[in-house]
Amino acid sequence: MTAAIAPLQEFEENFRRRLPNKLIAGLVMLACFVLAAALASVIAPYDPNKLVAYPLEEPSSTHLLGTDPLGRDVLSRIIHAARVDLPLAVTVVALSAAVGAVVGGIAAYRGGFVDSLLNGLGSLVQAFPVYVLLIAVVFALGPGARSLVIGYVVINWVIYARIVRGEVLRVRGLDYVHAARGTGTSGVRLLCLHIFPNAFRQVLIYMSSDVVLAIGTIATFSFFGIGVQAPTAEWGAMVASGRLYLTTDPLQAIFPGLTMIALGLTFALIGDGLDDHLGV
Amino acid sequence: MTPSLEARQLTIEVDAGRRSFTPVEDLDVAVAPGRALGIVGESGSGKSLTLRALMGLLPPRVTVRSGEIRVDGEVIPRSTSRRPRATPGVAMVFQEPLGALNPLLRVKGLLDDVLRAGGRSGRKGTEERALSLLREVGISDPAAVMSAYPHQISGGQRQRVMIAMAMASEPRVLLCDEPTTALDVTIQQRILRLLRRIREEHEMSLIYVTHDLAVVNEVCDDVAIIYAGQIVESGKAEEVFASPAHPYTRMLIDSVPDVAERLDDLVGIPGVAPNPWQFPTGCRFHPRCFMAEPSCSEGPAFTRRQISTDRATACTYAEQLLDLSGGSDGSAA
Repeated sequence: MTAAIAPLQEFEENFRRRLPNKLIAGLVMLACFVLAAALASVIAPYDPNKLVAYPLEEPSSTHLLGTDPLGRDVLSRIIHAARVDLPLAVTVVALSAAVGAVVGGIAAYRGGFVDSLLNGLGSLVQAFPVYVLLIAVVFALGPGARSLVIGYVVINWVIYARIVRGEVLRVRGLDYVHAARGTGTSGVRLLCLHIFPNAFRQVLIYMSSDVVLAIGTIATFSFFGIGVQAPTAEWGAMVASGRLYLTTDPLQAIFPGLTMIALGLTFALIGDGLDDHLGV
Repeated sequence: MTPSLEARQLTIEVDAGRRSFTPVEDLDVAVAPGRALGIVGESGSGKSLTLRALMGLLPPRVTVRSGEIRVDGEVIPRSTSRRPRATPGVAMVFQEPLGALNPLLRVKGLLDDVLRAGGRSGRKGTEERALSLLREVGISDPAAVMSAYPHQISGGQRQRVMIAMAMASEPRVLLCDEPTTALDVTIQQRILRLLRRIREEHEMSLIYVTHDLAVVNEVCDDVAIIYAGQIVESGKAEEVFASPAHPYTRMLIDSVPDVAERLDDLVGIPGVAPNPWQFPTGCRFHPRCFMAEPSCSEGPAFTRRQISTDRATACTYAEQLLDLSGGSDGSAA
């Protein structure tokens, strides 16, 4: 490294230092959640599905968050539920984004009739109230996590398709893409090297807030008993079973609820931080 | 001599939904082998569009409606914005280096992409070639710049990288769209010197689009003055600047600020350039011209006529104007 590039090092250091605090906080929190989920059987003090004490015990040193109406350890169940909720939410969002990216990419790239057709299809899906459509799909396929994922993707791809379409159109108008096209860079190479990577920043930011929505939706459906099925520990289902005791033992619903709020905050911080950092 | 690159009767159409208009109409421009041509005009005169049409890379919704582009006398099939095709043997340096460089690729990747698109070398040869290109455009530490992203290098270096990318295809004609407008004067000076050097070494032709007369004087042999989508005057740069044969050229020269003079002494040109969807009839410059006669506003757009071997002007009263500036000592140049 010589003088010409010395400012570069300085810049890179600056750049790293200026990684938004929000983003760092969010990533640290996410790491905690992921670790908890991955090491659930090690960290959790009890088996989440075993009856280990009397029902509805108050938090104590043996059961930090108390026990549920059946006498299972609440903390262990909350930790194990992360194994269900996190992968489910991430899968749902990743699949939606993937489908949306393909559809949006094709719409923008082909233009004309194909574009109108795919746009119309998207509008058709969006014309239905989200929950009505989702309930219909879940009932048609039978309750369970798999149906929930399929139903969610069927609805959710539209937003990603819209974002990707708009971004691809924007990026495609930039000089470097135009120049690359003119000099004979082929379709796939052009898409993978020049267009998609630059169109994907918006998607990334939206994904992080979408995870929060997905977790909420999964919990809602499990709360109503048509999502993740008992006895699997799931935050929404835990809130549901706790709501019967809301007047006498409000903590039953509060602890899993707080966990979801914390996870929501995590992804909100990541999304916000990414937004600042990528400066879209 | 056959021009290296030439546009004949070029008409460019912009499709703006219900109405369309032609910001460039029946424009003729040519650059001879090994020479540098400056195209000078105000914002919105159609100079950048002309350059892009010559490059074969028009933005979406913009098309060449009529006329032809020739390379060494041969007509090039028309490029469309849906399927753009760069004119062979021609490369371009863009105005805004940040928009013209993919922000997610390192300089190495940028050069690799153009080198491989040209199909000139295999994977192994490209790195060597990329390094030598960077060295050629005067980057003192090519290895370090290779691994940097566009936003990490300075504006001057970015412009050099872009010139290197343009040179990668070994073009015969290099098109420059105001490549130094975003740079400060000292860096601008170096980039201009670099352009002159590589042009001489590679015996390339150059077309340089700008609104800066001083830059044209420095880099170009010939000059074409563009107004409202048409060339109003053309000729050798020094002759045109010494004794303009079109009132617009005259007024352009007079409105260049002199560092030593105060701004309120500036002459300037009254009015603004016309919108491309409502060009005036007759001579398009007549509403702003200081020597316009009633006849200037009549008939179709004025076309250029030859007034000496390599000079042409669209002004009917060019001779009067020449007498006028011949009377003074030509200090405007």
